[in-house]
Amino acid sequence: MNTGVKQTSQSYDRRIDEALRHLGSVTPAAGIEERISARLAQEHSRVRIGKSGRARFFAPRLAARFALGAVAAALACVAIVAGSVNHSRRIQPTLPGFGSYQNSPGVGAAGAAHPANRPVTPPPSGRPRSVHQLPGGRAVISSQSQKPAGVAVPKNPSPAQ
Amino acid sequence: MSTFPGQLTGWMAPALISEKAQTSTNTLDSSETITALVAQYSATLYRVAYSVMRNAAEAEDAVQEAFLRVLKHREKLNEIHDLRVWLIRITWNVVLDKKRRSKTRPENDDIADYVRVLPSADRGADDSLISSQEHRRILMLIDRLPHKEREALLLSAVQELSTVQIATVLGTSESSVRSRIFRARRELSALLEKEGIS
Repeated sequence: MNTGVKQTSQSYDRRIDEALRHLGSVTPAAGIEERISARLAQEHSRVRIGKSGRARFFAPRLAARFALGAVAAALACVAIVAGSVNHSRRIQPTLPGFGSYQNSPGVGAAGAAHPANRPVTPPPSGRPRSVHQLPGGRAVISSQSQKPAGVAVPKNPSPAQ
Repeated sequence: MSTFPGQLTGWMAPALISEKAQTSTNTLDSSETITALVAQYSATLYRVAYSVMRNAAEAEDAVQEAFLRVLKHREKLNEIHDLRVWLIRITWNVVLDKKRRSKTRPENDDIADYVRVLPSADRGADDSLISSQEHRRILMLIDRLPHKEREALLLSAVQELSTVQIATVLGTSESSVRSRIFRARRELSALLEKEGIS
């Protein structure tokens, strides 16, 4: 039984060896070297022609594109500068506080300057109206004054002696 | 055949005229090297390609493509330690690529090739035909093996390749190649038994 199995195994091995030997002993058709050299030569010349042809085709177009781009950029620069100069010449030179504020249309910004229409005379008290200060230097809050709810006001603002 | 080296050396000549002297010298050197490589290794590379492609035209096309890759990277030629293994590796990659791409296409095994490669000195015509069919069935069974085992087995069929060189081509160790070949043969035997080829 074992002998039979061994013989079968040897038979398979022999067949495998034979198949592999046949596979590994194939010979190319005659003249393979010439065909390879012809293909290499063809490819080499094709690459050379392709490179020089591309260069010949694309170089003038590339230069033309570059020149066109440069001209367009220069024209754009000239237009911007001319527009800017024209715009600045159209604005009238004015003194601050006169004219232009009255004529400005629309709603101005909250932080914009709002000069008075006529000169402001100083008050007779000798101090600006915006300053509410007693001669002693301390501000006083009246006990009847309206205070927001929840704000505690000490009766004696000075610290305990 | 006698004109082949001169013919091949000459194919880069037009490029030499317009280029600088140093480049020209390098190109000439690489041209001569490629000439020598084509003359020396075409048959071996063909066998490597054929072991996978199983078609004479496709195998030759793969070898040509491999040499085109060599031409493309000819500046590296001086840096290669073992040109033979390098070439086999390139060819191997080419044929695997081709095989992968052609998986969508129907198989086109060249039956005439099987008959042509079989030794027929001590066989009759009928015997050769039966043997070629059997041979084809064994190759079909090889294709059913796992890819690592199959690749090692197919490269082992190329008689010029040692186990070390197969290991270099496959990017693995020698012991791994040996065990892959062993497993491949064992599985192939099992497949043969299952198929009833005796």
